[in-house]
Amino acid sequence: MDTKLGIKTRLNRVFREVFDDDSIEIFDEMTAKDIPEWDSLMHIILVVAVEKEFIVRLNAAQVGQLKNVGEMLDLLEKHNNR
Amino acid sequence: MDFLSIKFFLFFFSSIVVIYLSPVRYRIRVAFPVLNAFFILTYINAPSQLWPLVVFLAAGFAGVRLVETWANRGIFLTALSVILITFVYLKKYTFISFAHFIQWPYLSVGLSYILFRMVQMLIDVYQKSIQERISPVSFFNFCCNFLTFVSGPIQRYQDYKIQEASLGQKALKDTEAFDCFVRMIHGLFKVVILSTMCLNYHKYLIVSLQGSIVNASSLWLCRKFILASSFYTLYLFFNFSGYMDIVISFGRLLGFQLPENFNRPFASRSFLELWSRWHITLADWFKFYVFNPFLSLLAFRWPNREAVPYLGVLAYFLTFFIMGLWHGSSWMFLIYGLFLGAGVSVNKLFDVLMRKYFSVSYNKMIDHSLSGLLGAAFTFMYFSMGLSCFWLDFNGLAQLMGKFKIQGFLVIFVLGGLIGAVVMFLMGLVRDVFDRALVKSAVLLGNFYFVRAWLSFELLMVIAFWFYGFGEIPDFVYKGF
Repeated sequence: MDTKLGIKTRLNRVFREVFDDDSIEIFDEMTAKDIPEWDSLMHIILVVAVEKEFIVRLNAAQVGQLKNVGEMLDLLEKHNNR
Repeated sequence: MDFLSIKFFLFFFSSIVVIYLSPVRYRIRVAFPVLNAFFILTYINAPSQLWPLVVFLAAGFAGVRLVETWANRGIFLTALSVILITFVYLKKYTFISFAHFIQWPYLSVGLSYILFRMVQMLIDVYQKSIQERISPVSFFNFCCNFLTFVSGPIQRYQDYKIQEASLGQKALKDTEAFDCFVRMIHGLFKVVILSTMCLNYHKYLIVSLQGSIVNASSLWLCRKFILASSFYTLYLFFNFSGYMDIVISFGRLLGFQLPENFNRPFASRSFLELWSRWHITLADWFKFYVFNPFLSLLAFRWPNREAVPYLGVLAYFLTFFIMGLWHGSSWMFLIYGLFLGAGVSVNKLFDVLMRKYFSVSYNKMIDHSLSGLLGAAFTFMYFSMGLSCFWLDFNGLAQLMGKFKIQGFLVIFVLGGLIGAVVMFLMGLVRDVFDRALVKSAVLLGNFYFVRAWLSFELLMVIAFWFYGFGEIPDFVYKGF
């Protein structure tokens, strides 16, 4: 079972791969405004990549309601603890 | 019950009294459902008119309960299909005109919005986003909440439950209650005066259009069409957003925070942006429950990063096509769906290609006063042309199509967009002058007196229009959807 730090490291890797930018360092308050390429399409691609990396299935309500990276981390931690 | 009737307002104000006076333990379980049921009953003349709605609700509740009990994919899909088929049947969609429909007149108001609520509940229960067991009373209150029954705003069950818990619980401050009345009067002003004036002018233009399509010159027709479609859009906006102002204010008086449905839609600089500003809760619903799952599915199937933007274009088309189709049951709404789908997908495709070949996004391109103004004007024109499906019948459209051809409509779009840009620019100047005059008046009179003076003016205008009207005041337009 991953620690929160472990989840964050893996999530950071997913962000770098999806946005093709090795300089990305995620933080809890990070939103789509912080990455110019992060639009509604890339959001879904990000979610799909996260689902593949963490072997989870996020539902419509969860995907639609994520407000920032911190919420995504919390959600992944919840799935990790199940 | 007519929206603009004394009965309507009496009912709403009585409901505030009933909610606040009823004991807390009976407020949600008894008072609220009774008010909801009473509101629905005001729409019918005979019990037989109610049965289709009852059957629709019963099918939805049975589906939700079955999925709650057995979270099985087969049961979920069956329940979803039953709800959708019942809806299509009750709305008498033209493409199933071979079916034998119920012959007697029945209540169809609210069905379209109940559909969203039931489908959302079903999906979220299946995906375990709703984990509580939904009681029949909660189901009924959510689906038939009198504040949102006629046409939204569309809420998710989870958000509704948070609001339901605060029903009649929070004592509003004087200033908050005053703000609600101010917004209510603004809403009335929009519906009674602005939307009526726009509709009357639109009707006048339609009358002059009818019968002249074949003989009139193309330029004359073009001018009339641009004006008629623009004024219909303005009418729709004032009518719908005015109604929302009234309903949201009533909601707040009851302690119910309803979501906003409009945010300066005509400031949208692209057709995609428009849908984050116009009928926001509808667009959000489709984003949550159609666009996101469909794009996820495509992205899982074709994980190639290069393909993603094009898959997005496809997902946008499908989502907005369905959204257009939802608006009505005739063939015209199929065309409207295609028009919406084409608008957003071309908008997205343009963005994708600009990024790919010129490394600049569409948003960056319109982030300039002139390009932003042109973007807003062309967005308005395209949307207005699409909305002509609401007021033209199939024959009218075919006649115009025969006259203009596709290239003629392109000319209308370009011409209308350019004229719109000039009008928007001039209106911006007038608005600046008006705003400055308002601020000056507020300083001279003092804000307290100024707000009340302005409010009194609006109220007097509404009363004058209502009782000594300049033509018939239109009913709430989205009631028909």
